[in-house]
Amino acid sequence: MFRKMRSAQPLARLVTWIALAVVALAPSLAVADGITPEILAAAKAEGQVTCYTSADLVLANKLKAAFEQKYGIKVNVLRQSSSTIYNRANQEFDLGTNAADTIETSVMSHFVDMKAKKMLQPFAPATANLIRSAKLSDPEHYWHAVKLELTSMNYNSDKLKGDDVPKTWKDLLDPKYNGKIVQGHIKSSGDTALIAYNLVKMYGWEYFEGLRKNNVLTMQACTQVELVARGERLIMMCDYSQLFTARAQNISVIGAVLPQDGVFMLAGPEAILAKAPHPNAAKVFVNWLFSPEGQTIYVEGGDAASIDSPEMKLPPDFPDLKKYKLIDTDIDDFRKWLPGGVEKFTELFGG
Amino acid sequence: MPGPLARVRPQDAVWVAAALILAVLVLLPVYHLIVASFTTRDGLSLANYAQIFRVRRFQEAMLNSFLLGVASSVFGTAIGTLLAWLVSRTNMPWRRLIRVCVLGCFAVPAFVNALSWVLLAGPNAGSLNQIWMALTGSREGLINIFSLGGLIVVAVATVFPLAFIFMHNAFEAMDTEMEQAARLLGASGIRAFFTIALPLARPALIAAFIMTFLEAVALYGAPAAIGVPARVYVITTQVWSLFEYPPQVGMAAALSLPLALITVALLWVQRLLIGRRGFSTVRGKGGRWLRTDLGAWRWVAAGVAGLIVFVTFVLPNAVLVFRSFYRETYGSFSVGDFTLAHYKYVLFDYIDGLPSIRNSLVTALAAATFAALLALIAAFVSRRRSVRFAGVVAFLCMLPLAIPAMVFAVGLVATYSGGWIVLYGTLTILALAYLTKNLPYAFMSCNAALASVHTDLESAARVLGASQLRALRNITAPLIRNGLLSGWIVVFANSLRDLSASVLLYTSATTVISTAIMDVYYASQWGAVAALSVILLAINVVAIAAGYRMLGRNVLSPNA
Repeated sequence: MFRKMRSAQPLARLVTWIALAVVALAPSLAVADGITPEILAAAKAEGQVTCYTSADLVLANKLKAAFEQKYGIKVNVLRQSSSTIYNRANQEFDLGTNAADTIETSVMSHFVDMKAKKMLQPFAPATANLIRSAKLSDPEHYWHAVKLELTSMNYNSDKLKGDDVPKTWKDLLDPKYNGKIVQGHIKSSGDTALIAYNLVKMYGWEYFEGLRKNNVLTMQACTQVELVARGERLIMMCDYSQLFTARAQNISVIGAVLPQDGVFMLAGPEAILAKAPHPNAAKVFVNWLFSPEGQTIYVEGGDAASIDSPEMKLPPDFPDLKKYKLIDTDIDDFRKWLPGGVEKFTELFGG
Repeated sequence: MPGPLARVRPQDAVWVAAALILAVLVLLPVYHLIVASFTTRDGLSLANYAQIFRVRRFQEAMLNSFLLGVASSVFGTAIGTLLAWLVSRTNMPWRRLIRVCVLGCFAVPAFVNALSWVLLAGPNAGSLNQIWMALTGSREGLINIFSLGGLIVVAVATVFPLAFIFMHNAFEAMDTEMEQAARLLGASGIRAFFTIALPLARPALIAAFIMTFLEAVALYGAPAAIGVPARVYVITTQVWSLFEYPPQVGMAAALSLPLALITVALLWVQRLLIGRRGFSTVRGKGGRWLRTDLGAWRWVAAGVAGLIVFVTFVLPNAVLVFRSFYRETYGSFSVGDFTLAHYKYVLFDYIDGLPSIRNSLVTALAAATFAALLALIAAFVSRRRSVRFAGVVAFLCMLPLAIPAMVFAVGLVATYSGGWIVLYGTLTILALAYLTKNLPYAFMSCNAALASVHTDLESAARVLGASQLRALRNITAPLIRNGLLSGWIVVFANSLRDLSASVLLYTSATTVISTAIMDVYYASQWGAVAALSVILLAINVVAIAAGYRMLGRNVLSPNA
């Protein structure tokens, strides 16, 4: 009997240790483990993942192709402007017709709001600890910035040359650009919201009054590569990735300038929706987006990477960001500013 | 109404049911629209209206809508009348071709037209402006599409076919003896036109003015695509912006109602001016019928008419078709850049692509079929006066004419997004919108067809013991098959073309082609815009051409 008890002891001890370990590790297992073989198998069984994204279509399609090839899981991409994506996800959540698994916009405050509304589920990619700054993640891992867009001025390099190419945001107020500029709308474009917030901070609303005097054309999205390439407008206030988007479409007449008076860093968060129909595939997909492989595709698309990893390579002509005034945005201040900003912007540009 | 219900015959149940369905379809959304406009978080109040009249943007929108309506109506009716006269009353060459092109405009949604016009008449790079600059050496383009003027041009191109149909029918129905007499007495063709033909067609002319006005102020897609970027807002674009998340239905209702009131007022004025004939024009059998000989001028006339349909129909659609097969790189033109990639993208890669086509077909088919059925019963009831409330039935069928599509959509959202029946987010609500909005057209065409069927045949059937319902099914319906079919096609084509109601009613699970086109447009994917538009056009062209085959050239006429 004694012997029996002794023989049972190591097993009991083991069970206790495992239990203790599980309890101790549980929080970190739940949030900082990337994917397990079980998740991967379940993801493959699900077979597809639907992602809503504001990333440029060319970039989104590159991510799709690479992920599909690697995992054999189909990616359905819906590419829309940030607020359209956000509205759509909210509407689906309210109606209970949840179609999307993952969501990415260029507006960090969307994610703060969606988390509060319990629309998101926590998931930490394996590389979460490599993310450049604590500001770029939710402390409870409901979302992480997957990319850092660099706001820029993109121009028609066929029609604007040498000194005619603007160097600073302020240059756009020059009357010689009258009728030549296009911007997005603050209500729909994450880029435009961030550009407006920072430029108003730097130069006041007089800046946008000046733009209005210069007959800026205000479209819904700022991504107007075709409009600029066609020469309908010559400069768009958008982001650096547009240069790569144009290249991918064999459009060679687009150039890009990172403005000397400030490059605003636009963090684009990625999250998994609480009611994702393919939750496991979503985890595999998000985990991969944050891997050096996924991040490299973002960088090749003209964004700055969100993670800091030696495995990633920059494209040869990627600008040396040290030469520029990179400006981070305080998310809380931005959120406070936004409703009034939308009001004023709409008063100036309609919509 | 206890009277008719008290001595109910079995078949009366059908008439009553139809009347009830109509009442629910038409009146419920209107009721909810009005209630919503007075509803705020703190209960009933005038706060929404106060807000509307306080904000400058909304006032500007109302003024712009009015300007847009008046200008489009004046120019649209002028152009429509000119073409209609040339086609129906003169010996201008290419008459048939011109008529086909004008009818073809009905296959093209207004907003698709607007998008092609961005490519054609963008102030700096639009093809037309490029040609103008190359020809004249001017540094400025001729037309700036991003302006109120540009918007009016597109609206005129959209509404003139409607005026054409009204005037064409009127001119065809009128006999030409008086005009010939005037010519014999020495009046010029032009003078005879202005002093004889035009006054005779006065009911149609007034109808054309009013319908083009209504059509223009109800436009959403064109103002959204070319007005908003240029800071030109109209009521519909502002209503839409109130629907952005989270939707402010009360404010949207308050902003929509003035539009409905203007419409009601206009229809009332029309009634005052032309009496009870409504939209039907004089359709006498005509005595002597001679075309005006334009002499050598007929070539000039053909040139002008040809130019008008070239610019409004051929060019915008050619641009779209070209763009849908071409990978634009903005370098030099290359044959190697022709591609099927845009079609492949919208059909297989774009996640809303195929579902939107399926949703459009399902909703348009359902709307057209139910509208034709309801219109048939309603027309039968109101013509044969078999029940006491027959007049009410006709009124209910025509009422949606007074409510712009987007305004009606606001009412539908107010009705079906809470309360007993929740339809928001379903295809049903889209089909309901299409059905109800287009019911007047189906009703008009059934009604006109029914007018030409003598009651003798029905009476004979009744005498032989058939019920009224059976007489309708076996005798009357087959006889007015053409009227039914024409109504069906109009409802189908209009449903497919609709954007202004759809844009408020669609959700991600219920995207239709028109909303999908707007989505890819906002995402700046011109190739996808073109491919989806061509698909939409192709479906509509097939439907209308099939109708043309079966019904001849009256296929789209409200009085067919």
